[in-house]
Amino acid sequence: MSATLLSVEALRVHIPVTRGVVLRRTTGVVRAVDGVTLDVREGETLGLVGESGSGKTTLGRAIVGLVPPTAGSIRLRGVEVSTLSGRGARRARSELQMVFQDPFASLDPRWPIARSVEEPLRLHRAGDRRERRERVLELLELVGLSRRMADRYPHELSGGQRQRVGLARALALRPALVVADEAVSALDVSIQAQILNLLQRLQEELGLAYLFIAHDLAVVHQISDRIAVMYLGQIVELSPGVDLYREPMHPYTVSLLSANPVPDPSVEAARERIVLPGDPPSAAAPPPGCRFHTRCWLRERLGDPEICRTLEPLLREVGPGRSVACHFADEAAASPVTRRAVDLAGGRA
Amino acid sequence: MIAGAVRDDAVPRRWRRALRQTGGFLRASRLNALGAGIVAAVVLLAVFGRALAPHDPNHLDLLAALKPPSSAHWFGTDNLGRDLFSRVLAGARISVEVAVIILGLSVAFGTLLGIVAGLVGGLLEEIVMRVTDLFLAFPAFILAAAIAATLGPSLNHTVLALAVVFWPWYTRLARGQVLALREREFVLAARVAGAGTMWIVLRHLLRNVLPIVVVQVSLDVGYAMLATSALSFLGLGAQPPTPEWGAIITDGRSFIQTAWWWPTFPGIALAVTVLGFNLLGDGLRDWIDPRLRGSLGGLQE
Repeated sequence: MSATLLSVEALRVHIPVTRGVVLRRTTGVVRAVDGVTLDVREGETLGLVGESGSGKTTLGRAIVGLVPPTAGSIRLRGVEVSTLSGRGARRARSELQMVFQDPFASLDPRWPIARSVEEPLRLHRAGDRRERRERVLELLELVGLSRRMADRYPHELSGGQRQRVGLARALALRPALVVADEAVSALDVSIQAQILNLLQRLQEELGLAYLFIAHDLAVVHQISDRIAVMYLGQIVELSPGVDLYREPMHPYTVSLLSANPVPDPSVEAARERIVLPGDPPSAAAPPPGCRFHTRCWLRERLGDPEICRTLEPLLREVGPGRSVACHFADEAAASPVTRRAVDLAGGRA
Repeated sequence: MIAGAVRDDAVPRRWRRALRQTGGFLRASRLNALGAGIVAAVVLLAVFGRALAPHDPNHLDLLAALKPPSSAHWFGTDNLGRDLFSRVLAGARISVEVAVIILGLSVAFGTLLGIVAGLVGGLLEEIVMRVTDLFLAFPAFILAAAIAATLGPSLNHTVLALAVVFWPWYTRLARGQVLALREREFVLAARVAGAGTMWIVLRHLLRNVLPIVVVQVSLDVGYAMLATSALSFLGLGAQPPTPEWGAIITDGRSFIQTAWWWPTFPGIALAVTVLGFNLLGDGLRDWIDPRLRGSLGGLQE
């Protein structure tokens, strides 16, 4: 097992909801990230999945320093980075870079792409103009773009090409960890595969670690060594990808698995999907007890145990490298619903 | 070597792009071409007008007073025998200068304030925006007239007064754009790369706000000229013998029955100039509209 690169501990990002300006008062707090502990090892890919509003993007942004954490720590090779400021923070954070979701919005439309890729180098005063230019061209080649594209503008590129440019920019400072926030979600499936392959090749060549954020388990499964599942600001299950697919232990993970489409019409027609009732509860007022209990399919089958509504389950270790936050993880893993979801999902895993 | 070759190619490429876009803009509508043509003519006359003028605009020739248009005096002469054609040409420079200064001041101040307000937010933004509301709630021309009258009649005071009423528009415009831009991912990406606020303002926001501001400026130039002339017409702006169009019209208005040419030609010059800038501005606004155009950069998707 390789060394820990990044460790996030008890991280909270609470965003106050305020009203009024002169007489500013806080009317509520959105607990976007509410006590997340995880670590990313050197050179691994940690997948992070969850539905919209689960806090996965906020978690990613907090790690790269775009959002200040309310509490908790973010350590890079043991050095706390969340409290650094000024030049120290800039240097420490150069090892934490990000690739964004929307390839159309992530490049300045008025800059030739070479300038976007060069920006981090200029900000960190790396080399003179000619050295930077040479490095930019190298980076473009590294992500599979021709040197001749260097002076094109973003609108002259396709979505996949732009995402490659975004990746080149993220790699400019030789980061150790790249947070990829839904980096392929906006792309066509065929382009998605290309970008995923590129990410994997770069990981091998450069020894990068990824925090790969997505809402789609299938995509995450392809690229991740381990997968963390997030629900309402907390991690509910964290397992090696293979185990998560073979033996999900949290009812929420099971429902995500069951939502994966299967590329076989006969199977697809026969299978039952677990449709979670309603929307996720508001992160400003998470339900008491287990946050998932309001939508949990297992709770009903177990005869509505009271503990789900009263006691918040902690993320506990249930096997080597496997953690889950459910009072009834074993029941969830053993449920026939889970077995069916796994069998179907296994068809394409 | 390859790097050099690529870079050499970059410059003509950028120029070709600009040329192609200009051509596209002019072809998009005849009114665009007309507006651009008028504006180009006015700017050229402003620069070279004095050299072209057949007479000194302030030269008195009482023997030739109130002559109708002729081959010697194309636009006729006024009651002091000054050549109106030369005065109208000289007036073009004044109008252009005045518009440049008014808009230069209000755009620089207003845009920067708007960008900062949008970026910083909070109490500062609130104060700035309420102040702009205060200015915008008041009829602009009346406010400008009041300021000019308080400061005392002169062209400089008129320019200042108009700059004071113009800046809030640019503040609002810039702030709105910044609100839309600041959460855009390329701004976040710059921050992840270690960029500070100044870097983001100067290198990302300003460049992206500018095209929108340029359109607004081209629409406002005509209005600034018109307002200057109107204030001069009311006696608050340019003072005799300055050949400002509005001032010439004021001097000539009591002669309109005996010497129609006196107020008419500067009036036509003013109307055509304002029309030209308005056509250009309208054209630019439509052209730059993100839903209509894909290649002018900026805020299109």
